[in-house]
Amino acid sequence: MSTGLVHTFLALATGLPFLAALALAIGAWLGQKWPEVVVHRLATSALWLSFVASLGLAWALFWGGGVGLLWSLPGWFGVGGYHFPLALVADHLSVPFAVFASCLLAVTARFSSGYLHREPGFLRYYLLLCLFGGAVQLAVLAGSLDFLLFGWELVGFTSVMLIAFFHERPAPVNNGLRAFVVYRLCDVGLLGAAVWLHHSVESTSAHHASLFPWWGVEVPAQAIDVVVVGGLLIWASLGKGAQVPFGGWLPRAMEGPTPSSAIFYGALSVHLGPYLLLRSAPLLDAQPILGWLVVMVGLSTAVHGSLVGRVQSDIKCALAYASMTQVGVIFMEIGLGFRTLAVVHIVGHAALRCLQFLRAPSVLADRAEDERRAGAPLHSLTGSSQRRLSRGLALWLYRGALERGFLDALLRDYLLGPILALSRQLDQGQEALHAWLLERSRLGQGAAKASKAEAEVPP
Amino acid sequence: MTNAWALASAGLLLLGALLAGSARSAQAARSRATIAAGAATLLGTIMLFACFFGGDAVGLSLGIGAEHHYLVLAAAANPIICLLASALSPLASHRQHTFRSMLGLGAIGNAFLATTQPLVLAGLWLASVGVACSELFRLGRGSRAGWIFSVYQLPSALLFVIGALLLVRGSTTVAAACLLLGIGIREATLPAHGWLPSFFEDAPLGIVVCFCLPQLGVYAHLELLHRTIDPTLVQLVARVGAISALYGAFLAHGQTSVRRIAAYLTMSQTGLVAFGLENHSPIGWSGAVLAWFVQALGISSFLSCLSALEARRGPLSLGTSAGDPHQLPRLGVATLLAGLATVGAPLTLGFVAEDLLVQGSVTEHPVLGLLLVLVTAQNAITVLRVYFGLFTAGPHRPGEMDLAPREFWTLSLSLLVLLLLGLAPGPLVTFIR
Repeated sequence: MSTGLVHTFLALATGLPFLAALALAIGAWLGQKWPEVVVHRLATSALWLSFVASLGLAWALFWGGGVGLLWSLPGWFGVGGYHFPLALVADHLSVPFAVFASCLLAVTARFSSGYLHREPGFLRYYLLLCLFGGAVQLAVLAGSLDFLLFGWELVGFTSVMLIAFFHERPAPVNNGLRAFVVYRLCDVGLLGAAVWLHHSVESTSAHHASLFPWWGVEVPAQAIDVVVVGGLLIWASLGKGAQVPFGGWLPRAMEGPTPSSAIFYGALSVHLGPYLLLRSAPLLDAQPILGWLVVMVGLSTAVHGSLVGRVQSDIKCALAYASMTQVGVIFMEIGLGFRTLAVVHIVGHAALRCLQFLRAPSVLADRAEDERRAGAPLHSLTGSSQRRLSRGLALWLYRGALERGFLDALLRDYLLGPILALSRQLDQGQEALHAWLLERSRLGQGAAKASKAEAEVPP
Repeated sequence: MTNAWALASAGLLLLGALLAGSARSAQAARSRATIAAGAATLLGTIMLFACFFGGDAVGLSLGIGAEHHYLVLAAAANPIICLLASALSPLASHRQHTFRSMLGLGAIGNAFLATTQPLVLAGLWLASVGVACSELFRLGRGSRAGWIFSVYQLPSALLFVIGALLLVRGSTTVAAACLLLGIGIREATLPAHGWLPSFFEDAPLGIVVCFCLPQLGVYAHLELLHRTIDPTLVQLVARVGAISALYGAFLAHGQTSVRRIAAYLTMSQTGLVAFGLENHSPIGWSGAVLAWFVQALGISSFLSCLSALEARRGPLSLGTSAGDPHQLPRLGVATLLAGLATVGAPLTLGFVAEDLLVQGSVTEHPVLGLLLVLVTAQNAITVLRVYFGLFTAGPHRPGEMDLAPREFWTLSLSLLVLLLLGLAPGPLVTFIR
């Protein structure tokens, strides 16, 4: 297949959702009241066409054989020797991701039209979904870390805006902000890694090593550079992948519309963390300590998610913890070197979890139907292992699980709380200094008096 | 070098200032100020396009060499700042004299960009401080803000004047130190940032925008000091800039007063520019200049949106000023987009500026360069906190209207520039390089 056709497929797979988002954004800004059917058809068509283009890529990859193709576009911008590496890659990692991501996006967009019928934020939802669609395609098809960051940050932003979709209530908004804090703090790792790679190997473009089935990050020569870049990339993957200790945002993200929960936290967004690690696999192999770090993170998340998920009474929260557990297991697979298994696991898990989330609103009806067909109540399958625990240990674990492993409390009391308190104290100290200077200065005495008088007047 | 068209633009703004000052009502003053700033914006845009598409020959005929292309950008941004400030300023806090001062500051800003003579620059610097001071002392609040502003800004102006005099006489090292101190105070770098929160809290936001956002210190630094100051001072300034950026971002988290948050956000972003200017790498330098332009437009738009919201809701606090998200959708989106563009979100010019700034600085300052990444992450959190705190999860407020046509088109222009240039930044980056 011609290279030009592959380039066209790459451009269409990433560009079409963005074009739909742009059209919806311009319409919304200019105050157009488009009917739901127009909005829905525009968005869904763009996402289906993106799926078709992704299928074209898969066909081209299968037909062409080899290790795929890196498309380096002419410089987007640059100064001197530096050019922003605008590159897309079609290989055995990105294409399967692009195919299943665009397919799930299109299906979810179709499903959402009925679910959000007559919702005031109908257009906003589809605008964000298209933006997310373009961003996720960009993130998985990006041929350089810088370009991946572009899609990565947009995924985070759309995710937050959809968590806060029902913004008439404070809870979704607070949870959206919480997710954004985690995303941004972890995104620091990705940008830091990109900058460090530029510094050490002068490129963040994907590089093909002979032992790997797909393109990956170029490995710096110095061990310290490998550890720094690898560590930063692992840090970046913790946020999106909802890994310990940053996973607390995931159950709270369930405040968003169910279809967006399905596509973000069941299927795509939550798997971008493992995807990043798969792209960084050469680094993990170059320094085994990085691989073991990933295993430890995955193991602790799997244990945490499994325990906490058992005490959830809300179906979406239970599914969120189930997602977290599975992503933890995927982290372990990647750390242990089972990369192909991890890809299969991601695709299977994403499809299943997306379906479970989409069926979540009718879970009670589904269970009643299953019991009616079985002719008897269905029993829980998780009780046997729990009964083997001693009562004291079971109670201790139960309390810990109810408190979500105390992780949120620890972060609040020992990290966030002191930071905010110090920030306020520094500001107040500065104000106190000004007040003191005002009182002692002849010039400022009038101002100080007036300021005091103003403070005494009731509002 | 004196470029005539920057002076022409300054003249238009000055004329607007005089007309606004002589208007019978604040509403008429706002209309006149908006029209004058709009005309200056048009002139700036024409000149930008002329230099951009006409090549070096056109630039030279206008008095602009290739090494001063960034000036065209700055001089085009300055009238947009005035336009935003004028069109979105509420009449309750902005009277005729306020609009006069705002456009006066704009005119001084553009005149500042038209010359490289140290003494003329010092005179203009002093004049801008005087205009802002007189406006603050007009406030009937005991002028606490005026007092604090004077305590910081008068020494700053004095240091700048002394530095300019010494520079003319040839003693460059002491002159550079004086100029850097003067610029540092005006740009609210640590530890001379104390005036900024109270200035933001008490002054009319239009004055805040027109005084702070042109960032005259950046131009003075580029024209008078860049590549001539002692390497030790360069290192010091870079460190102070980076630490100011981090400190501002950190302090913004603990605030609930929206004006104070905006002050610390501005301080943080200004610190980033100061840090970038000290880069010897052309990548970092280009990033700093782009960041200067982005902040001029982005923070101006952000503050102008807050100003428009204050006109509808009164003083803004994150604890109490939340509103119904369906009432002000466009104002909310404009606030969010302007804020995100400022802090380097993808699809905006801010992303390009941040990328160049970080990539260019990490070779010279690896630790500080990575610190910048943390700063922009924190500032993004602040922007979203402000958006969620003001535009969501609040009660319905009867009578609250979304953007008026004047506000809508002005914000559309500014956001369009930030978004379009964010999508196709290549030619602009090449132009300023």
